[in-house]
Amino acid sequence: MENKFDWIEKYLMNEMSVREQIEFEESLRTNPDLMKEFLLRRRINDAITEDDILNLRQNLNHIINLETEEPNKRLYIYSAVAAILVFVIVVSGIFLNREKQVEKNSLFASYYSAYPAMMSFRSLSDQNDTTKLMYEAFNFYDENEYDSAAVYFKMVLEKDATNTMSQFYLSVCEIENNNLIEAEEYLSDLIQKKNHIFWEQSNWYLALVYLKQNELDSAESILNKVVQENMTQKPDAEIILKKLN
Amino acid sequence: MRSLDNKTIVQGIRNQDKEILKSIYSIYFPTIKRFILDAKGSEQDAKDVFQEGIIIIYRKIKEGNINLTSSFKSYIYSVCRFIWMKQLSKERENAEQLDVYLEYEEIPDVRLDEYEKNEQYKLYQKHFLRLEKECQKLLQLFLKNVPLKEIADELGIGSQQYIKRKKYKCKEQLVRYIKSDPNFKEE
Repeated sequence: MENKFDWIEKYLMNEMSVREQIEFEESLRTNPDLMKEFLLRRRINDAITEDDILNLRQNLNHIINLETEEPNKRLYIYSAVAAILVFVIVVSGIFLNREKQVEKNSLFASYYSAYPAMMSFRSLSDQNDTTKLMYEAFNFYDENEYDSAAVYFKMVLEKDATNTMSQFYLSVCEIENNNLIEAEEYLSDLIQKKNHIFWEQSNWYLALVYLKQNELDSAESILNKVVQENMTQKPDAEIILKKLN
Repeated sequence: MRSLDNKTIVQGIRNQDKEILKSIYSIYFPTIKRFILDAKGSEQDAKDVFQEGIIIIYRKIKEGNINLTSSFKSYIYSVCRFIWMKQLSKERENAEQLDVYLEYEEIPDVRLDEYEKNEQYKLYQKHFLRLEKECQKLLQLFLKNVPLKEIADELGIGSQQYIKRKKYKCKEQLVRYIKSDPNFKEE
């Protein structure tokens, strides 16, 4: 008697007589293990005959790796140039303090960028009002229309004050609109709330807001927290702290 | 860097146009990468997620099942974000929190079963490519119902009996690879 794998393969390859097929199909109905193995092997067959997907994977792999190699070569050249620059800066220590002041002023610009928009909803028709408002807000946010986006995020918060996502994106809108005091308030509040997914980002953006306002002690305090609590932005925070000191 | 309209992007992905795919990568990957790095992933994670995002979108285009009402930037970002969040929710302690968060993340028309199917097929295809080239070719020819005689001619193998035995061994090796993968899930 052949094993169940042979049996399944014969069926999948149309190598059975009609009587064998009927017998096999009957066994499928009554034997869950056989059914499980059959479904797996059928899916594998589907997957390995997807020539187009296999080809697309190969193309994408090629593109992604090619695009990464070229910057690496450039990176090598930049590293060499950077090494020379470091040398020049070291021997020119006398000018360093003045440069540091300029650097502090440009830290915000170097490290800030608006947090990417998240959006997309299955179907608006069956969504609640809050979700529809979020959708509008993200449409504006995605188009860099931060004034309008802020209006919608505020409407969400009026309906649901606990919506941390809306509050976080509103704070980014306020930074973009140069309403730094408002941004600071929203972000400080988000940090207090703590148990949400934007907590680390809120710390980071608040530090940047302080940098922009030239409140360096406050910025330093938050950045130290970013480092101590091993947040995602720790490497950047460490660099900024070095520059501040 | 030139911008691309949605129609060009959809056609480019459908036709697997390498230039368009390169442009899509150049334009949209940095945003995906930033998001993944911010969400405690690595650059390699970002590349993997981006690749799977494009493949899911390709599948949808092929099935005539894509509903691209917003910008492509938002669309691919949402798809990739969804993929990453699903991966994280498998591993992280705060999976519940993530699921709540994902309520807002529902993407226009990528269903969970489409995502799961893509994950499974990715695994099967990964191991298929580990097989020796002759095995890959043999299995594909068999599954496309190419007559044994033609398979024998194409692979330069005389004995049809040998081909049948070889096909069986190749398939069993593939199934073994798949079942021993830590990411393999029994259905």
